[in-house]
Amino acid sequence: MLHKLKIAPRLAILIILGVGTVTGIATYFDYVMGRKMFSEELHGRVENLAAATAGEMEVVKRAVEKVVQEVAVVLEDNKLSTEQSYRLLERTLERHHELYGAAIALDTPALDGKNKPIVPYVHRTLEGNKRVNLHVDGYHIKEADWYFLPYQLRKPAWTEPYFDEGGGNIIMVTYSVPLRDSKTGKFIGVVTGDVSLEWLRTLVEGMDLGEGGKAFIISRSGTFVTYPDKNDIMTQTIFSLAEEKGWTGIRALGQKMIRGEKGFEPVDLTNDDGDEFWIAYTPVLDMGWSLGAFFPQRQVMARLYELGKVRLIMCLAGGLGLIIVVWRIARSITRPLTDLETAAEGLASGNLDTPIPVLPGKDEVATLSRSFSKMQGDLKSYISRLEDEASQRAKIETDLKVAHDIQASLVPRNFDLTTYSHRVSVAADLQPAREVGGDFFDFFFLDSDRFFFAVGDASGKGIPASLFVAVTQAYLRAFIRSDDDPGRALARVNDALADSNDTNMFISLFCAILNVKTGELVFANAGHNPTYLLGPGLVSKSLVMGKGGLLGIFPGQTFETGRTRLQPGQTLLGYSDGIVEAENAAQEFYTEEKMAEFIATCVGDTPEQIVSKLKADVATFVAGADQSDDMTIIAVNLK
Amino acid sequence: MDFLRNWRMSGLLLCLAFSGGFSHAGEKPIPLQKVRLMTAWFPQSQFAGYYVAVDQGIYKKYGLDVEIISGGPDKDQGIYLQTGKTDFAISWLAPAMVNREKGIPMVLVGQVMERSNLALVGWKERGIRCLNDLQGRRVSLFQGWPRPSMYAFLRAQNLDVELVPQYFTMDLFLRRGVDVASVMTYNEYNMLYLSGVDASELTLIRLSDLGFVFPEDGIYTLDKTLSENPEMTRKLVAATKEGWEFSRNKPELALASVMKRVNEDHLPTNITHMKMMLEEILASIFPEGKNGKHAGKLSMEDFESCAKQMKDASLLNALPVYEQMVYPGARYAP
Repeated sequence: MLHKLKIAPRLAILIILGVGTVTGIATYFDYVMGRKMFSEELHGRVENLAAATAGEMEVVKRAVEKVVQEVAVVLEDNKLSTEQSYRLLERTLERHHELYGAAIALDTPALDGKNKPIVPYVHRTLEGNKRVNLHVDGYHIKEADWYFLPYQLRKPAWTEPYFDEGGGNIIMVTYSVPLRDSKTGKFIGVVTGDVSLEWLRTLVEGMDLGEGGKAFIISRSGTFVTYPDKNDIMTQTIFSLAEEKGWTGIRALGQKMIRGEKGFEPVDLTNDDGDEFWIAYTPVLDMGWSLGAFFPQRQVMARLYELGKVRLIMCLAGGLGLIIVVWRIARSITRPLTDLETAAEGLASGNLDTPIPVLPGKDEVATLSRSFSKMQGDLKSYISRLEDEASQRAKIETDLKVAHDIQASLVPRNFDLTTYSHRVSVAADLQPAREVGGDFFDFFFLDSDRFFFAVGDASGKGIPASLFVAVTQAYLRAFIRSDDDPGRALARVNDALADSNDTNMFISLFCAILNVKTGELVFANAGHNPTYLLGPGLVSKSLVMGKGGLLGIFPGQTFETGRTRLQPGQTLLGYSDGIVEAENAAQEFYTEEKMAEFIATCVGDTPEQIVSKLKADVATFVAGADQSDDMTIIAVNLK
Repeated sequence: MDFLRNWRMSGLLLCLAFSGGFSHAGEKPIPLQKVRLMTAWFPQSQFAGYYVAVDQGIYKKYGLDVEIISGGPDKDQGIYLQTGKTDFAISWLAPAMVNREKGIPMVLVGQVMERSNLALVGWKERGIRCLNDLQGRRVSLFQGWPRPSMYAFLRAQNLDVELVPQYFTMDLFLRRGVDVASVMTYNEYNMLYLSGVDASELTLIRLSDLGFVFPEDGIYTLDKTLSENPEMTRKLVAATKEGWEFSRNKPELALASVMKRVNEDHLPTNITHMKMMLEEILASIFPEGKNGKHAGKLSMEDFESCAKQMKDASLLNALPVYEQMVYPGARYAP
């Protein structure tokens, strides 16, 4: 995907992705940390609030416990009359406003005048304290928890909260202290103090928990002592409400609460608004009660969200700014690159004068631009140099061509000898390795009967060799005409060449004069390859030479003139070492043996056929490998 | 399924009888007969079937105008019947036997509950894992009408336990003041759950699982009422059966009828508790398995088993007679 884009958008995307990822991670951790921090802070706040509330409750609870226990002490030590009992209760209520009511319930209560048991109880009303005899039909004192629990548990006990139907429809809770006979220690009844829980509700409802925050208190059995929904107070336990509402997880929470644990955790209270809630809970009153405060998640996280919102806006704005900056940077890099691209295209199309943008500075693009400029200059000078060289080479090539033509014109081109004699025919071929070569052949009639021919090979190749050949050929032509002895002619050529041979070049040469009438052949050889004679009755045979070295090195050399007689039909074949040393790709030589073998198959052929067949055989052997030396063949046939 | 068919059949036959009656009487509506039925306690799901029969017009369909009187502590069904404060009462067999021996001629006209819901529950953490673990422990026992049955049961097990009375709350048990408490599986046992106690923390010993038969809610009246108003009795029993069947089919409506009365009386309970109670009550009226085929009737075997245990526990002086105390229509003949 990305690689299809241009650099500027790619750069922008990559940078935004990179920065976005880093920012995202940072924001996430920030959020997590913030959430932790806020929830801890809130937890702390709730704990303080709960502690303060619990503290207030504790004060009331301790006061009530103390008062009731003091009354118990009085009762255990003194036997009071009914009136004294009422008075004691009234005085206690007057002094201790925490108390809603108090009762003295003896196992064997005193009887009134009608033999009816009296269980004195005093409670507050709007009109003041009111005396009540709790012993009424249908109210079994000994079955009530406030009597029964301390009796069975054998210690003071707080009852579960209960709804008081008699006193004024209030929820209350009773602290009850068992009375023991001071002498026998036997249980003789209980003294109780009632506490209205209305103040508790006021206290809990007054807790400042912020918007949507609510607090509640559950008793040790999970019963709601206070709850935002008044209908649930005393009728529901946290467990029944959890079942009714289908709040998973609340049961476990309630169990932790009644076990006296404290905590702060998210809870799943699905409501119509889809809010999530957090709850803080802490034990209160040291009697299995627990205070819980729950908050909508949005309140817990409101500040965090607020902060998050600001951060998000900042991120977006920053991101936008970043995009612009990155785009501009990318453009500043890519614009000259684009210009350079255009320039490069111009250069590539051959327009070396395409303007190259000049960039200030030392950055990579500026350097690149300068490199481009330099390249353009270099290219220009290189091309002009190339042009010069090309023209020079063309000149040389022209010279070489001329030299080639000249050299070609130096060897006979007309192989038709019929104008001179019908008794001899000749064929020759010269293939220089370069434009001009160091091989040569020559033939002409000295007179009507004598046919002169020669083949030679100068040391080296190319122009120096061709010039040396030209000189040699000129000398040879001149000297053979003035002295028709090939040996002596060669000696003279040698002396002439050696006389001014500063370059120490040399040349091998075979030359012969054939009397076409008699078949007599006189010849001399200056270090040249043996010449072959073939024809009817002869397979192939090289002419045996007398002494004779290479021409052009040592002046004063003599060359032996050989004599033989050719039979009509016989052919003399001369060649240069370019033939026998022709190399194939495997660097193997054609060899004289191979040539001798081959030309033996050519008996009876015309010189022309022999030359072309041998050429073809050599070509087959080298199979396209580069020609390394000049190759010359000459065949002379006596008819 | 047999008993279901019986219930349906009897209801159907009665419906037919009534529709026949209507047509004979022309368009004139038959005046409803006033009947009072006393329950065993304050409004709760234990009595859903009766409330439903009133609220859904089932009693009316049978030509009855039923007034339901709530029971409660100190409201003895026998006394209410004897003093004419009610015509019918929901009671257990054991206290009815005691009442009959005391001279209140209570007679069973329809056995509502098939399975006993009486149970003991003990704290596992206090080492109560089976019945034998009760030996020497503090056990709180229901007072009032369930007590004779529990007491008889404990005596029969030869368990030497320290008995503590159990009144209206489970607080003493929750505070570990006793190791074992008595529960009705539809009431106190659920209350423990709704006080945050998980079933896994408790050992539940159902008396019925141990072969003790204490027939619970049945419809009782006096011999006199039965002999004077056999038709009314028959109608009440049939309509009540229909009421319970309705409750089973539409428990949400039954629950609504219960909650209506709970709210009217401002009772400190909640819909969750009532819902759980209804489920357990329905299961004890329509139990699955081998004992679920009595179709509102009481067998002589169960009757005599209960009577014997009561006598063994010295709660009865003489064994009551099945044929005298159980109305023929409520007798179970296998």
